[in-house]
Amino acid sequence: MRILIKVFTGRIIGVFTIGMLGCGCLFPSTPSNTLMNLYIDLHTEAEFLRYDGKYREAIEKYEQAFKIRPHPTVDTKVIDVSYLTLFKYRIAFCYAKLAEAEGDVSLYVKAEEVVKESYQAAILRSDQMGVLYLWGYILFKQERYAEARAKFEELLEVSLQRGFHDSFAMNTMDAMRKTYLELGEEAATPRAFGQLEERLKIALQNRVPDRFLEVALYRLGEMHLELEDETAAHRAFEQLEGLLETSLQGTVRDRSLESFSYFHYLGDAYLELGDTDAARRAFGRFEELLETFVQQGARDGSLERFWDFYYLAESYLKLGDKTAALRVFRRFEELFETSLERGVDDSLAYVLSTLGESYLKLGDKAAALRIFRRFEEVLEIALQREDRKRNLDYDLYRLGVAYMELGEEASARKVFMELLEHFPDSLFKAKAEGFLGR
Amino acid sequence: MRKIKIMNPIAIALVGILIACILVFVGCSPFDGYIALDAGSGLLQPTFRMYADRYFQERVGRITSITVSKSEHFSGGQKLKELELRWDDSQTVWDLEYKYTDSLMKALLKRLLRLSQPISRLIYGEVPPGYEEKVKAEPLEPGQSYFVEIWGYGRGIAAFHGVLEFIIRLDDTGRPDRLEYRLPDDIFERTRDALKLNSETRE
Repeated sequence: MRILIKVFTGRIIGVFTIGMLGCGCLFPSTPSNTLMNLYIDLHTEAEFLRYDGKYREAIEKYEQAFKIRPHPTVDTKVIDVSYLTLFKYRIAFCYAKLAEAEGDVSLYVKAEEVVKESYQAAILRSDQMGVLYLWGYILFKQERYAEARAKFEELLEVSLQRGFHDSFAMNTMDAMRKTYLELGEEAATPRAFGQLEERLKIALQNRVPDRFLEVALYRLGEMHLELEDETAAHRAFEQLEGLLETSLQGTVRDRSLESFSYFHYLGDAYLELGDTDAARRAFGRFEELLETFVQQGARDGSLERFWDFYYLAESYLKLGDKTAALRVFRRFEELFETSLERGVDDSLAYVLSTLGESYLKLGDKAAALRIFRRFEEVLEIALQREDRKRNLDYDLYRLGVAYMELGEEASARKVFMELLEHFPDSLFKAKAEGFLGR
Repeated sequence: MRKIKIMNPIAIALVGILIACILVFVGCSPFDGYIALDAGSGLLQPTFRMYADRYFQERVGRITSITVSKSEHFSGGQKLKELELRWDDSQTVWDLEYKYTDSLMKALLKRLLRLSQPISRLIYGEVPPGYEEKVKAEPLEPGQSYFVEIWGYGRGIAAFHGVLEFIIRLDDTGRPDRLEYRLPDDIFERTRDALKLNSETRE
């Protein structure tokens, strides 16, 4: 006891001794090296290596892990239905990416061998789909297009049988289109699209909201657009609009705003198709919903959607509806101010300059000047901080140009002088000097 | 004077323990857990095994809740009968929650003396010591998919969360034949971008 007291009275040493002893008591044992733990370690390492693009090392670790994975000692009726498929998928993926990186065709052959094993082990259709896609990809990369087409067609069939549970159907359509193109069978693409549309129609008749249906319809419309089939594209977008309206018959709160953002995308798509009435209708609907969500968010303090207003205003600008654009920009400004009160200020400079320029485009000079003055204040503060100084020369330049456009020459000169003073090596030096008449 | 000399070590010891605790808590980081179904599991009464990586295994703190739910998912307006790990609708069929009855000192002491061990094996319907059954275990229906969620912490505050979905399959005569399960794995989604045709993108 006396010895202990002596040790403890050497205070600092005592404190740390007890501290370390405490740690030892809380973690008394060294980690146990059970086979399962080693397996998990190796698998985790392989995952990191794959993520880092170190495919060769990843394959090695996966294979080591696979060898030591504990197997049940009894004849079991308890089955992990995805394990083998997904494990082999990982290895096949690494071989495929390695083949790509090293340009070694023999690695594609290896990838194909492993992907085949993965497919043979697949029990769930969702797993079969993932593996078939990789298989098709490997074949496509070897320029074995006819075989790749067969895999993608098989995948599409499985995907369609399952309904539209994920976005795989869309990925597949895209892959098929590229494969048909390589095979010179462009006519086959609309046929495959038709198949997809038929299934979509059946799903739509069931009237069960399913976010994948929305994704599928939107992507289908986009693909028709890429193929320059405007009639088909319009049809797909109209179907999507109908589906969204059906969803709206439930309460808005049941769905996230993300699903209704399709109204915005739809508007843009209609605009691309030249149907301005439909575009206006879709944008209007989105604005209405956005407002509802923001009101709800204001009540529970959870929603920060002011950027949606900004992008919507931009879309209105593209539509040529300046009144609507101005209205929505103002709403954006209002909401942005509210968010600033809550301390969100990281994007302040960017927001102000972009908004100011938008007001300029709309010809609202008073609003633009108000915003640019605010922008100048923000820049002044930022210039005092070394850590915030990066890229401010561009902001100063933008501000100077804006002042020039607003006829505020004195303010513009002041800003350009500041640019030259703070950033003598700036890329905008010559332009600033030009404005200053040097 | 003599008294002060005796008190000092106690104070120092307390500060030392505090430092130990801080060192333990500061070092915490979330680790994924790993659940599996025991190979010897009963088909109608599954046995779950909880693993974690090597560095976590010995340090898992307390599993605070275990919930088994019946799940339903739809696609294209149809109810799916596959294991999917995406649930549109669910109903709790068994719910366990840890009861904090020990005082802090008692809990710490138990831990130091290795008297409290995290659950590593759990049989459906059997309530482990220290847990309260919030929802009594309902009999599992063959052909119906279920998922189990395990919540807890390790190293003081790190969340430990594991999910597993399972389904009891019947044979042609309608008798339970096998127990199928799967763990959440989004490898297809994570590698999809790297597999865009005509692109050389990395995952």
